[in-house]
Amino acid sequence: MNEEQPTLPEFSQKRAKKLSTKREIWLIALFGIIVIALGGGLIGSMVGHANNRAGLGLNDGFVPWFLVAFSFATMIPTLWWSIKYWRSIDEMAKRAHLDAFCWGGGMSWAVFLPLTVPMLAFAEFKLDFIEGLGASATRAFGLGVFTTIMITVLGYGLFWTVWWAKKR
Amino acid sequence: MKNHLKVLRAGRNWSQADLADALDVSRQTINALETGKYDPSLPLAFKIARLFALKIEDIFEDLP
Repeated sequence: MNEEQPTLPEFSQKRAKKLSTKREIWLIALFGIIVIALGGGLIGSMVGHANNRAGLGLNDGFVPWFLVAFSFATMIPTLWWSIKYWRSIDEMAKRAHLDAFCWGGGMSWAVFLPLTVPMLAFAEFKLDFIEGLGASATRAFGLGVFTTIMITVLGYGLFWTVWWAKKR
Repeated sequence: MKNHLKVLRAGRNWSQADLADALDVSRQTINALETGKYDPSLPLAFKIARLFALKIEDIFEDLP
């Protein structure tokens, strides 16, 4: 082994900036969640209340437009935040996310795919709670896409939690 | 893969946080490296070797 005794490098400006960026990222996330929860809840309840007073259902009036506007308004800052977050984490944290997407997300599809086959294979196969929604084919498709995303997120989240707990 | 990171770090009286700062990774990553729960990428292994002024094979050991 080499006998040379190295010293720690100076705490660089670059490192200080990176740490402060990391703090900013989590503060932005916290602030964003509060704004989205309070703002979305307040505007949503106002829109819903106005619809109710006009005798309209949840799929009429401004409610659908509010939902579309809300989803787009939250998507853009979420994408921006995700990129900032990804750039701020180190290689082990990135590896946790990549493994979670590959194995957690992928495995959740592998588990749930056979469960969807009977729905497609048997014409008489019906799920009462879905039938009760009175969904059109388009809404059923939307519901399917939404369910797929939720299942993927669930598998991803579970795998990520286990991965991280094991490495600690 | 086995490594001597903990011994090397302790020999220099560096804390995990000191080493994490020097390598620009989190303290959790240093802990996972020291306990052998995580193998570093080649760029990180080189960075560690540079910091300790050692060769990679002096720090990391490939176990059969």
